[in-house]
Amino acid sequence: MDLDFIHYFELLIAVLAIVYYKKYTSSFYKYFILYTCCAFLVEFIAEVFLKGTNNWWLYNLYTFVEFNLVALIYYHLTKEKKSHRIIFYIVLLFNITYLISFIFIALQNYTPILLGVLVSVFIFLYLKELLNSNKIVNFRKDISFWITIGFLIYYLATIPFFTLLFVVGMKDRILFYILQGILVITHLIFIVGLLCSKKTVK
Amino acid sequence: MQQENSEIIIIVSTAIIFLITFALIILFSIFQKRKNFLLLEQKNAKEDFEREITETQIEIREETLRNISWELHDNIGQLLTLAKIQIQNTSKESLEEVSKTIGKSLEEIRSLSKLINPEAINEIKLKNAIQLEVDRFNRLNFIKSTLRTIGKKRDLDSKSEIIIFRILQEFFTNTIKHSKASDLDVCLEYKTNKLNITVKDNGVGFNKNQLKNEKGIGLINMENRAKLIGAELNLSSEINKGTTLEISYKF
Repeated sequence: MDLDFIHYFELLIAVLAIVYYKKYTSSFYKYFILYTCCAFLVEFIAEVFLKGTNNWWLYNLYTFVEFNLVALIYYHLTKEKKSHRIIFYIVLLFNITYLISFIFIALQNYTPILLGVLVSVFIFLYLKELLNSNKIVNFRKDISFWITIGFLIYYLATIPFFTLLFVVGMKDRILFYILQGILVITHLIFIVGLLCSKKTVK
Repeated sequence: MQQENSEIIIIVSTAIIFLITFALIILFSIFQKRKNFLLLEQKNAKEDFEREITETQIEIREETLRNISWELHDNIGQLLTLAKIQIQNTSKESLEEVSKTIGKSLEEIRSLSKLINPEAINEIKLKNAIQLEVDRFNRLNFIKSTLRTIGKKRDLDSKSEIIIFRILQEFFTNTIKHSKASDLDVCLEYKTNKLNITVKDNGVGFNKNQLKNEKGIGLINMENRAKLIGAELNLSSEINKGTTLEISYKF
């Protein structure tokens, strides 16, 4: 039950995201709600129903859903055709790799790492567009900016951890404190973003 | 031992990546803030420009109204007064004279109505507007003026045309009011990438350094407006020889 308090965080984020459904009406936001709900549900099912059993298949499935939801979020957040094309090819690359990983099971250990790297590419595409656009953006009050920061910290910083966990192998769970720390920071950023951002005006 | 080593590696690399990410976010924030600042500045400059254009348009309108009022009073008014006097002492011979005077008044009214046409004021075509002014000076015998065009005529950006016309109008007014000149020459030289305008009078001229306040402000105003549309303005004057204004506008 090491990760227990993280679940409360995840539940809180999912509830907050749903509560603010009316506040943030951008098209990407509904995928963010789905993302937070999936994150909580997967952890919840793993903790409550699959405790002590092998739950890798669930996380493997979650990797697929997680990646495609993040891709959808950034597909809606970016505006340029070039970015859309890059996102499309990356999604294609990842999903093909994911399908192949059912044939070459060893590949399944690498998909979460690939996910982290590819999501970082989406984030850089979005940040690049934001910086290049001629719009004056009050980014500190922009929900998409906070969500992006949360994603960036989570996906980049967990790459070494997941590499050790999936590729090298971990004997004890001491290092899970690192994951916990990163998750706490990510969730705090989401909470601040959800609470402080400005209402989306169409 | 190996496990411990890999633990340290993971902790260190996670910390490094975390720090780099954090630094990236801070850098991004700084850039975005700077960008917003520049964009705001740009927006303000654009608003200032629009305001200046509107002000210039109002000035042109005021000047035009002043000219009309002057013309009505001093020109058409005089002609009609003359016609009235002629009718009072009418005889068969002088009737033709009266008819001539009234005919001339009608002509003046017609050319005046061209000037008041709101389209002529709002959508200034530089060359036509200058031509109207030059014609007016000649008609009223203010000053002998000519307009020459060299090269193929090209339309400028409408806002630039308004600004340039206002600068010229100001120059003309000063020439007529203060210079005692007998000749005024306007030359538009269209080149492939720029338009050179030269206006010359043969009046009393002035010393640029001893300009009185009011005139000095007029000159500064001209220079500022030229700067606004990226044109070069040069005003040179020699006492008893005349004044020359040169404007160079890049397309």
